Amino acid sequence: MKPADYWRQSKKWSSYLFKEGVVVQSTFQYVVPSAQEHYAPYSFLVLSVANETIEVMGVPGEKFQAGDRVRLVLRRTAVISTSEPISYGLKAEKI
Amino acid sequence: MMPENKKIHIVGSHITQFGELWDRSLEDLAYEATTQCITDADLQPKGIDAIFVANMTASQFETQAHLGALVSDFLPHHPPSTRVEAACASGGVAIVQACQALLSGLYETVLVVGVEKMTDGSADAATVLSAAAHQSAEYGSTFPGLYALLAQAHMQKYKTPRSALSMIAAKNHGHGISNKKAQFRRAITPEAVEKTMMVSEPLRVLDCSPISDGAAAVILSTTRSKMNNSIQIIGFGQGQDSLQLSKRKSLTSLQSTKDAAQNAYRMANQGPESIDVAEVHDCFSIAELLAMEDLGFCEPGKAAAAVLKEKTSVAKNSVAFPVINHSGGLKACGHPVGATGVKQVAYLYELLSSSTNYSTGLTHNVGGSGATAVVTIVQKVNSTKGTQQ
Repeated sequence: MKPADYWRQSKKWSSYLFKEGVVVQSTFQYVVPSAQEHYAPYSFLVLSVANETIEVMGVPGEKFQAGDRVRLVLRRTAVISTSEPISYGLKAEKI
Repeated sequence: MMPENKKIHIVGSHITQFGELWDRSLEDLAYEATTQCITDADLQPKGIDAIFVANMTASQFETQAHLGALVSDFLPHHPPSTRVEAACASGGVAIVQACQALLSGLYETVLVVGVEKMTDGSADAATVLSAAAHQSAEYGSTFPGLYALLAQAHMQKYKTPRSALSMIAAKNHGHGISNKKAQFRRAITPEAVEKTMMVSEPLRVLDCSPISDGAAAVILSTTRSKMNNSIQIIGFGQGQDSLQLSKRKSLTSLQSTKDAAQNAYRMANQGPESIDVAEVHDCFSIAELLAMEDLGFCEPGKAAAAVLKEKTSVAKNSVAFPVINHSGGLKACGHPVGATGVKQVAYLYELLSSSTNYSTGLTHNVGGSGATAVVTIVQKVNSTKGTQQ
């Protein structure tokens, strides 16, 4: 992720950090985008958080069900590289 | 309503072979579709007033943009040519743009070309196609993943059985056997679908349409028609919804499809009961199930039962339902994304021209996970009153 993209994106993501919500719908993805292959398989979730509905990845390897209560925490969005900033996004973990 | 004084005739078509076409470039495919379509319409190239070119990925896979100019270059008079991009609905939206241009009176005869070259591109296909989703809000998702969320929601709400999804894939592969242009021309069983690798629960590999190369073209005209069995576009509609799945009102239907269908039915002054055959956007098996309900072929939650009784297959078609995806759909015919919406119209034009079994058809083309949808209704009009070129 380019530094400028990360700077813009992190402002949105940070507003949800540590918020709690409920899983509305989930799927477990085995085939994932190349940038996320090191996390596969992982859940992709629709969450109800703070009167909004958002989409977010789950903790790698863990399956979720509708109704599960979750908290949004930090995750690295890509493999650590020496050539660019280490970027962080959000993931959902069960409470 | 369609204006009383204007009829949109389909006067020519061509569909290239769909598949992994290592020996054909993007330009080769577009050239074949363009030139063969003009030949099919028995037109001189200068009879084309304008061109609409549907494509999504050429900039990324082929580092070729400016496709309007690329296709216009095939015709010696270089008619005005515009590239249309709406993800997998690019073809359908190009048809809509062409129809609107014709109805405005600006042009009398236009060429619509859809083309995509996906199999030997320089970029990662999943990454390129993910550009049709919301890049930041749906980060980490895939298209199978987004449609899997729709499938999970439908299965939970309506107790939709997994076997209905498998039956759709098997039915479309069965239809594809008869289509010489189809990427896959072999039968599969529902049981085989359920043994393939899981992609995103509950969708497996054989629930998914393939990566494909291919092109299709149609010529539309308000002043020319074939003397007998004129095939006309009698209605069209485009619907939009949130790009983000999570911002939609429902995960068990596509509002964009409902809106597009309502507009198309209203323009055609016809309803879903008049449709004999439909080419619907089965990018994933669940998408065909949703389309059946959103297009009004059955009530919400009732499509699975009809599918399991094979009411939409050519072999066991019921009067209450249209034949769905006679061509094999995206699943078996292939899904070169920019070409798909044009191919659907071209295929129905050819089917209605050659068959006495069908007189009214519908195409349904979806972009992304349902942010854009286009529905077009075509009808065979037996008349000798058309204005021959």
